[in-house]
Amino acid sequence: MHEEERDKGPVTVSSLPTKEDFIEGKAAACRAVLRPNEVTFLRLAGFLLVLSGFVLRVFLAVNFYCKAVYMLLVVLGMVIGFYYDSLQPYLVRRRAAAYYDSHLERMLAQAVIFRESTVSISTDRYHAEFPYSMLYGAYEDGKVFLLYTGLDEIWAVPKRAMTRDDCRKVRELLARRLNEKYKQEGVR
Amino acid sequence: MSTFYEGEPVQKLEQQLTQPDFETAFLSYEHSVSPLHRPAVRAGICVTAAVLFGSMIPWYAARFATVWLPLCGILLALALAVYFCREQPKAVRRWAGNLFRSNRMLSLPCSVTVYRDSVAVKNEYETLTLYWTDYGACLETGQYVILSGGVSRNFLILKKQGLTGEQQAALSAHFRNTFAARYRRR
Repeated sequence: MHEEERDKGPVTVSSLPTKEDFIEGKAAACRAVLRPNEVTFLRLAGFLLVLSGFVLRVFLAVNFYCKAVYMLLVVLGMVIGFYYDSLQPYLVRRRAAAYYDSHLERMLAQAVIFRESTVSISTDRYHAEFPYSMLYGAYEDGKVFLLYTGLDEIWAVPKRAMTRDDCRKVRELLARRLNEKYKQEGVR
Repeated sequence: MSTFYEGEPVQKLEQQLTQPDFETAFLSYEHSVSPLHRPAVRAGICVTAAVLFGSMIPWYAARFATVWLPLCGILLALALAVYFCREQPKAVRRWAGNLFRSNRMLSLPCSVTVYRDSVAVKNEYETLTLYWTDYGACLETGQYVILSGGVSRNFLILKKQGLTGEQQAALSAHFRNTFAARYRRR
């Protein structure tokens, strides 16, 4: 009974976003909007381009110009095939790192409190307490929880500021309150 | 906000944004980002390209005995001009509608208090208190004042509807002075 009561108590997560937190938050937000079909299609298209490039290069390349064009086809295939796995995360992380460095004044300490029926978010400039039904969605990966108050309004809650037990409680709470609006990826 | 100035407010507004309000304000903001974001400018560039393709026709016909390529260029440029004028604003409006529907806080009735250095927005669930320096730019149109680039929320849209001419002038003067070079009017 005592443990049950403790489980229902609020979970408070206070943090000041570090560069790593900010980058992980942006990378997670980027992964959250990926459509599996789109990713599969691009990987397949990339694979086919690489394969056809190699086949053409080995069997049909008659001169240097042809060889160069077919090798470019292979490179293009690799860029397309690995876009969502390597290129896009790299670009997003690089842009996030640059943004963090140039907008340090915008990185405010935040406290997020997960209660049984409401969630509260507080920063120096913003304070809100609202029921879970007001959330557009939530996403969790290995490093952060993302709370969406809107499509373009994302609150990143870093897991490094939470205990393992808090993570479990928040996960259960979000799954229970948001149902299909809660997505998980890469969580162990 | 330890240094928050709580003197007399410049203006106090009670407002409730609707989806058409948000879409119109968002579209105005999009068109004000740069001249290249305006449909007329984009369409003008396309029409100029079409004219250039057209002027190439005699030379191209003499050299290659066909006019297909410049004709395709003209058609493509004109199609793009129509797209920029008719379809793209609709797409921007659709996206703005999605943003508005996704954020349920935006449609709640709220009170906006405009101070000398900051603004306080309150609705049933949230309180935003932001300095003007937290915003990137201010755009004023006939119906709205649109502040963009905010810290916690990208846009703050103030409806001028319901304000007297004097109040609108005071608000306008305040934003013009506060945002200086970052203030634009359409």
